[in-house]
Amino acid sequence: MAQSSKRILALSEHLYRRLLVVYPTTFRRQFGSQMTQVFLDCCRAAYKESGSWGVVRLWLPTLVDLVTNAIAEHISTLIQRLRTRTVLFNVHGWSALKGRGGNMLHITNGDSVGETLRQTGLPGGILAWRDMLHEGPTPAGLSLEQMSRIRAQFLADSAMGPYRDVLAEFMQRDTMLAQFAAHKEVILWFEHDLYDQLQLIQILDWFSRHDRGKTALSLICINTFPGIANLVGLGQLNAGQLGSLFETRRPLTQVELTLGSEAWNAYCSPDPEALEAFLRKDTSALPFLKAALLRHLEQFPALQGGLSRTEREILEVVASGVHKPLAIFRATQEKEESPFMGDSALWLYLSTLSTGQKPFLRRTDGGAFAFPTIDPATGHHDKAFLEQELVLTDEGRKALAGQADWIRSNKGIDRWLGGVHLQGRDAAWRWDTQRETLVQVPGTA
Amino acid sequence: MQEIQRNPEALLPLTPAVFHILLALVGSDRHGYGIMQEVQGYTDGELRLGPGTLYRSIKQMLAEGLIIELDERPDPELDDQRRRYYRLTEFGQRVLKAETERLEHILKVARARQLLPDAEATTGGGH
Repeated sequence: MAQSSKRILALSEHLYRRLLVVYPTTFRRQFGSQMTQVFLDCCRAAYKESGSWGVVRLWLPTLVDLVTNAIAEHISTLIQRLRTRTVLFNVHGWSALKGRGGNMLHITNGDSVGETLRQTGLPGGILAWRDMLHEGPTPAGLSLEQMSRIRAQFLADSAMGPYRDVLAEFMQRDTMLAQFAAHKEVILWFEHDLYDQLQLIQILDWFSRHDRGKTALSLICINTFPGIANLVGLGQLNAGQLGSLFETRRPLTQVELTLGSEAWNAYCSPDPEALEAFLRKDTSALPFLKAALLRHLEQFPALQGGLSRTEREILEVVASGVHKPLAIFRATQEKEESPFMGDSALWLYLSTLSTGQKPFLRRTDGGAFAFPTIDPATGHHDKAFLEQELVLTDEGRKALAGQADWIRSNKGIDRWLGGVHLQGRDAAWRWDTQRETLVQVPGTA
Repeated sequence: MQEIQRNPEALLPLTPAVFHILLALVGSDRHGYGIMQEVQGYTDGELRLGPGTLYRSIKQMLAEGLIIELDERPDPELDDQRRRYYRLTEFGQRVLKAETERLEHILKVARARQLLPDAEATTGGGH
């Protein structure tokens, strides 16, 4: 390449790199060197086509691109910061919420729905409940703060983040809930599955024990949506669809609050018969509750094989030739009438089944099950996690054939299901899949 | 239930840049300049993405899980270290398909209103 072309290319690269300073620092750090490389490629192509004049001509659209995108990126960063501050302000400075945005508080099942809700343009604060209550301990008789500490510990132990961070999120959530009286109306947005119904009854129990003053409480809870076959959840709806549900909300009465509170207390009871007794009652005021709680009971170890329904579904899916974690997740979802389990929870099951004295699953390469790491900038899983493959062990195959028992193979159990702590050489309670009832295992009391 | 179940239609309509980047990544992993060339190629040079537009879109698409950045470079011998390759995710494909169907519907409306010639007529069939 001629000396003059080297000079103009080097100068252009140098200048472009310097000009990248107009972008926000985080963006520049992430993409600056790639952008410079791409610009240099463009310069080379322009030089090849039209010589130095081609490079000069390239600069005009490049400057326009640089300036417009830098402005857009600054605005987007600013909006992001304002959103974060708004959430914090909702927690700590409720008096500022008076006015249009302060009239309502929307409580949702998680961040995905919360984000879509934000896009609907509905006024008000948004509180994502963020807890997979179907996993881990929910002992009876605790205040919300005590419960949150126990939940934070469980989630931290389950690779969901450092305890301090998880607890801080719970505290922020609980503070926002405690300040509900700043709003004229609290709207609960939930769907029909177990994940959501447990959150709903925990919240209803909390409200049943607090004076609601002048704040109205209303509920949006669906299992179908016009035009969507087999609705899995609110997360499937776009902003327009979600927003259209707002007018369908119905006021919650003492009937639903009492029922929700009874359900939560039964779920948290150390005696699973309390839950079975609750399910014999009329629960029609919360129409999706019964099916959801019945699904919870199916998570108890089965009388034959000692596996929960989820564990059994995983083994069946793997036996059918599905081996990678994401594919296993999707296939197990398809086995559910009302899929409730998020991917993070399923990884816990895969890990559990792959460990122990006699694991039922193993990685084809002999390694331990790898939990995903999520790149906070991109939000996607790492390759080591995505590419690992799981197969059944001999013991797992025996279990599917009814010739092995998960609890006995692994010399005991230590697992919480709501308020029930199953621990010891055998589970005190197992689920009879034929009779669809819990049975007490002799000799475990 | 939270987490993976996402509705592709919630992201529509896509910006032209995002749509073309997704399209450029169908069937092939590409780095930034590769994406730029591909788009420029199949639009006969009508759409030239600048580096700013390209990487702001890539940032957004990574955050939405439409694409992933690959750890390895398909051709490390020939490539500059700075190059990063991108791959379409399954969700990205679903979003691209949803957007294409949306555009197809608009096209049908335009054809029905005789703004454009009928598709069959332009391909010489049906008469």
